[in-house]
Amino acid sequence: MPSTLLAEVVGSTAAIGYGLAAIGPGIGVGLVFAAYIQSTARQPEAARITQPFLWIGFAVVEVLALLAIAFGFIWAGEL
Amino acid sequence: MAGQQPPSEPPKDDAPPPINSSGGWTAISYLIGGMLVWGGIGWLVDHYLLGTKGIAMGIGAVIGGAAGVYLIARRLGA
Amino acid sequence: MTGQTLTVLAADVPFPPSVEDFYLPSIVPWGGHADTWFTKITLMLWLSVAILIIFFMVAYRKPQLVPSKKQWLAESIYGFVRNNIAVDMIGKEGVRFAPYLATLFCFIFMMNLWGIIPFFQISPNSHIAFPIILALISWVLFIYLGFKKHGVGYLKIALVPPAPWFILPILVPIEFFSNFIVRPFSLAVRLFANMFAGHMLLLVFTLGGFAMINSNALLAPVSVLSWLMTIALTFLDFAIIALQAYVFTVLTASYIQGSLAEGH
Repeated sequence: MPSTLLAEVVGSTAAIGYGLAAIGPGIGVGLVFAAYIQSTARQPEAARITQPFLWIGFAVVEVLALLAIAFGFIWAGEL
Repeated sequence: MAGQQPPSEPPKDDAPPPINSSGGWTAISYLIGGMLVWGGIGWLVDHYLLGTKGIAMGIGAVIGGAAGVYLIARRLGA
Repeated sequence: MTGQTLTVLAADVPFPPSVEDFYLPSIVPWGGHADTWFTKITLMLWLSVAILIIFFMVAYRKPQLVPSKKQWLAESIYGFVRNNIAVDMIGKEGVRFAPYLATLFCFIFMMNLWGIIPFFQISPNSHIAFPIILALISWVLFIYLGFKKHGVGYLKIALVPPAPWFILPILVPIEFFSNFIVRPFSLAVRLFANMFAGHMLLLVFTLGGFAMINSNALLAPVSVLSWLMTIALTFLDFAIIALQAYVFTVLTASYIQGSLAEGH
């Protein structure tokens, strides 16, 4: 017996994919900046010393979120 | 100027550099710029050279992202 | 009494607001739309320039050692930009640029301020032309300074990051894009987007109040809530106005400092 279409969900899986992919980097960037703020609060003289690591950490975590945006567009069509 | 304190001593040459208040904008612009530039070059390669539908743009975006992170580590890092 | 108030308030308003609401009708043929340039926006632009020129000229007409109130105000504004922005970001050489930065700060602040002054209530900076020109001037300035100070070596300082030579071809396009294209673009778009969004928010809450009464008179308390939200957003808008003027000036000063800095 041929299968009948009972229910249909229409939309873009790229959007769902990006939504899921943004969870990790969101938490990650929050952790990085939280660590910087805490360390500055405990020892203000260390702020200048730890600032380079702030930017490196932010960059590495954020690039994952940006790749998620890029791949959403790239995989919207077929490869 | 009336009511103003005299400007703080400008930093001498061997004083530590001021806190990088524009670091955030620089970091984001390197990241996004890297992915745009190399994603764009990848898209041009896709469209005119290879005829594929998106793989070169994807590779370009990844290379651009990695290059952006490298630039941030070099410019803003220790 | 409530019924009459509600009838007056339930006039027909266009809702939701759109980008078309930012294209204002002209003043001198009154209400014309095509081919007319003298709108409320032009009037606000001319008024900003006039107010700034007249204020600073009058404040400095007879400068005294113990300043009058006007002179103190003018000096405070200029002193703030000169000490906290120019000298802080650029160093001793900053005094040379303090007049330009002070003009930039005052002009952007005045232009943004029209967004919350009653009867005007739109900022010319919500049309992207004005932030584009301001960003263009700052861009040309810091590129010109770089070339004047370093000659052609400026390209090497600005574009070549400290990296081993074989990765440089990948990095130099990114540096070029980030230094010479993203900087002016982001200056313009940051100012434009903040003013556009602020005005749009105020429009939504104000017109929404009217639209709600228009559809069902029982929604009147919700309309009052919407208008209270408008008042709160106006205060927030004032903070954003000052902040955006400050950020534009600080970033321009930072780019000038980057151009004048010695190489690595």
